Amino acid sequence: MTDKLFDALETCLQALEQGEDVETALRRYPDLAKDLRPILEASLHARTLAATEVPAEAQRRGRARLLQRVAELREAQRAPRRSFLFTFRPLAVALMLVIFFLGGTGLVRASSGALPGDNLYPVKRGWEEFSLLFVADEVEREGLELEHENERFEEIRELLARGRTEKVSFSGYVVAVNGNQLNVGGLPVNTAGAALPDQPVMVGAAVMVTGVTQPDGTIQATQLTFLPPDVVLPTVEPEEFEQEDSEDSSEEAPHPESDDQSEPDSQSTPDAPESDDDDQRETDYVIGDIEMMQGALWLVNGRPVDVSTAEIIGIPAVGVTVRIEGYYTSDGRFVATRIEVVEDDSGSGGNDDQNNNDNENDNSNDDDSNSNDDDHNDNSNDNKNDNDNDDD
Amino acid sequence: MLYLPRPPEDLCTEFLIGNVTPTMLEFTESAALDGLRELDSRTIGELYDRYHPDVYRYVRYRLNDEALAEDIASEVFVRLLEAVQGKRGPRTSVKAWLLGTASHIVTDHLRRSYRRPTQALDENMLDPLALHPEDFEHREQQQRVRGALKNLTDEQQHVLALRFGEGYSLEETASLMNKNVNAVKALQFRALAALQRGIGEASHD
Repeated sequence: MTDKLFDALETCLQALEQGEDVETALRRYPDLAKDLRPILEASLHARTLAATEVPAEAQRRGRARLLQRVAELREAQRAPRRSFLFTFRPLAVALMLVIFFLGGTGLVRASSGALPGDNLYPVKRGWEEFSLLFVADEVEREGLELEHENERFEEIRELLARGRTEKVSFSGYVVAVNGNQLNVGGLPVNTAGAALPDQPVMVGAAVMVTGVTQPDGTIQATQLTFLPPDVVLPTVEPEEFEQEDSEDSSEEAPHPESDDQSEPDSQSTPDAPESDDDDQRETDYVIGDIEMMQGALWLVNGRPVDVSTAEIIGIPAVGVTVRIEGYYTSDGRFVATRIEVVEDDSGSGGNDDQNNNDNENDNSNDDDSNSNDDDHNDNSNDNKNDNDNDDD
Repeated sequence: MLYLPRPPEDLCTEFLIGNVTPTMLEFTESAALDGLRELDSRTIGELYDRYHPDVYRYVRYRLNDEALAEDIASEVFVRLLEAVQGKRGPRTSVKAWLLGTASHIVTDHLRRSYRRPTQALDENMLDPLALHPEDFEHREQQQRVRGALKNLTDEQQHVLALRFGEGYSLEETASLMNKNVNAVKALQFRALAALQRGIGEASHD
């Protein structure tokens, strides 16, 4: 019934659209006429609300607004390209840095041989600083820093070899003092006219030197400052440096200056310059009095001794005689591996159990070694300096 | 009886979703959508010219305010543009989308105006004495019809606007409303019945 009513209404509505009046349309459904009549009359009312025309002005304004919006969107589509870059600029910068440091390793590699004053030198130093950022482990970091300091020595040696004049800065132990002439880590430094610390510079002091390499193979210091005695300074281990030393040392064994000390040389220096491999360092021995103790650096018979990694037997103190077992580094530093307090010359036999052969040798030469220790040390350093100069 | 099975000839948009092929869309609508995506002013201008009268008439039917109808009709097209740009545009019929959006905007407006009842300046009320008596009676009748129309449901107003404001056929109305024809037949019957009751009540007041 309801469906029929709905269908009848639709039929009548279509009849009205065709121009029929309500009564004519209702004749199709006499049984439904009573229900349909008010509905059809309502439809006539509903039609009266229909707008006959659309104001042209309204249409024009609406069109203009729409096209304006089109233009804005078109403009906005260009702008986002800029804003995209702008928004992700930090990301882009980070990406560029990564590309630089990954893709740019060629540049870094190219800069590895750069010397102070070279165009690529800042890249080299920058890379060193950058690489330190990624080392969290303290020991590893210290090792890397030492490696970088070693690199400074190598650079300076290269500059001196080439006779170039460049501003340099490096740190090392003072291994020899002769008036204004110092030997710092194996490098000849002239301190005349330099800004020096208030206290006199002594052998064994850890210093930082700022200066200029000279064509004559020396470094003219402009400033020299003390570093804390417990600072970890570079252990320069340039293989080629030592290899050349070993070659030279074989020839220099009968060195004129060391001729008269050939005995101590032969017995107590089997010898540092011959150590051409870090893992195969020749052990050296020193017996003498402790003159100074500053943290891990002692001065024994005027010789700086790095005791940071040494096994210490007995109670060392300034003035106490010690027997030190260790090795030389190429910068002239003596690194102790074992330190034993010597009660007295005769008492050292008490350690025969441990160091039978060594002590026999040492004991047999104790007097000589004590008396000649300084000379011997100086000679060994001199030899090294000579070798340095020869290298240059 | 409102939810009858859809006959095969029912061209409701739901039926078309997922099976849309270019041939099923009118070429002009397909081209118009491309134009909206590519921000082609000429195509968009043609689209506007083609559909604006329908949209304006629809809004004007439901709202007795020319300026408001103009604003809403214009807003509908801007929303279409932005929807297409935001990949949310019509998938089948642009016309159905436009009229559906117009319906939503009008409904929103009416809801807001119900909350903040402000009597809009009705052109019929401006100067009743200046009108011809026949016109006066006609406009009074129109007012009663409008008053009754406002009290219908949104869907009832929508179907009356499409069928009697726009003059669309039953089938076209069903398609635009995404309903089957039987549902629209029932809906229009109830809408007209409600309108008649409303007019009757207004006449007795």
